[in-house]
Amino acid sequence: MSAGTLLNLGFYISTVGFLVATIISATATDRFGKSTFGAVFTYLFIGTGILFVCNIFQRLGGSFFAISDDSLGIWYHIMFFMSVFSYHYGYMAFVGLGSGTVDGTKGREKQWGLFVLIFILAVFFFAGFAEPVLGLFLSQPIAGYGFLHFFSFAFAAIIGSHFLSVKLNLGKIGQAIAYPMFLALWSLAIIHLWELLSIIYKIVPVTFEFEQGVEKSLLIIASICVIVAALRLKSVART
Amino acid sequence: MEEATQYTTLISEVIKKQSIILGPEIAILKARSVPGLMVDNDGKVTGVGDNPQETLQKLVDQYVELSGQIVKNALGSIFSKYPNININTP
Repeated sequence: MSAGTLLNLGFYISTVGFLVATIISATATDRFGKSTFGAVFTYLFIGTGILFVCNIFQRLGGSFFAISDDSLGIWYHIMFFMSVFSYHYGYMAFVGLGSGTVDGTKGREKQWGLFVLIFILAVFFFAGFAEPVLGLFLSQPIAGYGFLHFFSFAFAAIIGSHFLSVKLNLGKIGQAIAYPMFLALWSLAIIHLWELLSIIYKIVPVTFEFEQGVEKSLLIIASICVIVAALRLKSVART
Repeated sequence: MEEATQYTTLISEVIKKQSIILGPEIAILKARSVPGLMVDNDGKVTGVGDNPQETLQKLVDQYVELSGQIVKNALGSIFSKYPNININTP
């Protein structure tokens, strides 16, 4: 099997993985119905859905959107930040319930979901209009330092680490999602660290195929972890 | 009889509060798993068994097992209305 075929396979598996993860997250959230927990886990569903969209977006490529590959990378990272933000909001709402400082999400998850939807649609349809602005940024020396990759790595790693705390004092529901979400977010974080080391700074000299293979593998791991978190949540809600 | 009525009212309030937090389906499912506790489809308690105190404690234990500290925070205001009823929330 050629490297190209393997990479294609990796893309399809990771994309299907995130699609399945999104669907199972939706069904797990649905188990809690119109409730405080339902609202909290809606954030996790939204975060996972964004990752599925990110995969599709990246695969379509810059020429599909009439933008440069570098601009594609910027939009991809912005959507990735939104995904991690979504996980972060869900985590904060969950922990807030436990500490008694939050008495529900007050419908903010719906507003967030609407914002995310509108933003993603805008990116898909109008990314080309922002190309002159992004081109200006990309022409600056600072654009080559990999800040997007670094912030993506740091953000995902920090939020992922926070999820370990839900294992304590938040019952079986917290225990169900803590480790899988920690592993999912750290897998995603390591993707960006890997990009920094192999693409930006070239500290790890590898071929394009190898670099992409590692990325796809980590994406698959992340999608599996989110699936596990959602399945465990469903199981806890059922028993 | 009055004590049983008090427990019935208290447990109904607990289930109602947990329905807001967990969703009615899960809250009622957990309540029905407590031996002796009878709950209708709307979450209203119809029977508390021979030992209402024990039934209440087991119900709270169910919810605490599921969502930990969240239950303690949620039920504090309910239990404050029933000072003569003691319950352990770890």
